[in-house]
Amino acid sequence: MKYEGYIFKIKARQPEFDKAFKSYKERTEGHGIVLPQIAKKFNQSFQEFESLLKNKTGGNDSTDFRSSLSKMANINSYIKDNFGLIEDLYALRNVFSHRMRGEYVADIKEIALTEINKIINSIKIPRIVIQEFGKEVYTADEDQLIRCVVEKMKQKTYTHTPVYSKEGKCLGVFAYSSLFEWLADKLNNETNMEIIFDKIYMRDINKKYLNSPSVNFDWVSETKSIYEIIPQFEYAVNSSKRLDCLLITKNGKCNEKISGIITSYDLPSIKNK
Amino acid sequence: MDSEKKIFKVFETIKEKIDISPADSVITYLAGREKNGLGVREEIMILNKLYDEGIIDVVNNFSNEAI
Repeated sequence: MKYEGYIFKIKARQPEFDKAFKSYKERTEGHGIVLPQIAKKFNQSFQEFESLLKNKTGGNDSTDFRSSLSKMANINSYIKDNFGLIEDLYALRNVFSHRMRGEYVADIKEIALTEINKIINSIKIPRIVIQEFGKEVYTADEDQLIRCVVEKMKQKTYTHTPVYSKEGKCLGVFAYSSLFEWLADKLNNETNMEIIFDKIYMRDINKKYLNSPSVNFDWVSETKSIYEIIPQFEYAVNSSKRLDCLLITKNGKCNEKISGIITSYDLPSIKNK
Repeated sequence: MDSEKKIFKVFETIKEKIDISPADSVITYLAGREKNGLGVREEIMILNKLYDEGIIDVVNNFSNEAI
């Protein structure tokens, strides 16, 4: 025997170590360790969850679980909201798959399996935006009277109204801030302070007020997971960009028919789903 | 406990250390003191076996007396 001291400084050789570890694991799992059926199911589900995480966050076999989980929590609010629970389930999974702790720790409850499957489903078959926020959205066409559009927005407290051309092309979004910007420009330019609003139709509005940076909206596809919506708003805030609403279309393209809207007021309702 | 299970316990102990260490680190394994139910001689033999089979590299090896 070459090494006799009890203190070893070692390095694992890759990929030989992983290969041998896997092989011994498979061989020993059948040796006297009988996991309860529910623990086996739980381990399988957790393995599926880990694969999903790696897949969604662009990880590979060498990516560790915690790093994939943190990345996923940044783009999925369901995972973020359940971060603590997932960490507990991860610890439980370690009990049953590492160091044979399952031999000494006795029981696993059905609720653990239910919870991990709920988390898997939130990624695999999430509620999508069209299911939750699909609705008739008030839009205006370019031939409509500005007076009527403004009146309707005031009456219904609509903050954003997409404006379409006769050909069905989206010209931009008319928002509260569009009027404010116009007023600000006028105050800046008019010397006698007599401001006259002489526009009649929506088409008369300068296009810069329909597409200005202060009109804070974005497009989102109908099939997007609702759990990716809160991170999108958070990302905007973190980038010092306010986001007032997301307009839903089939593929998230601006030239498609609008099938719903998500405003920042809708965010609390996502948390409760 | 059969021999394969003993070897696997050493594997698991090493794996756990690797998982929480920076990539490509040298890790310290204290045979007989890793609280995995194995004795000093058994673990020393297993580590020698893993070395012989090209699964680990032993960067250094010593006992208390040699320090």
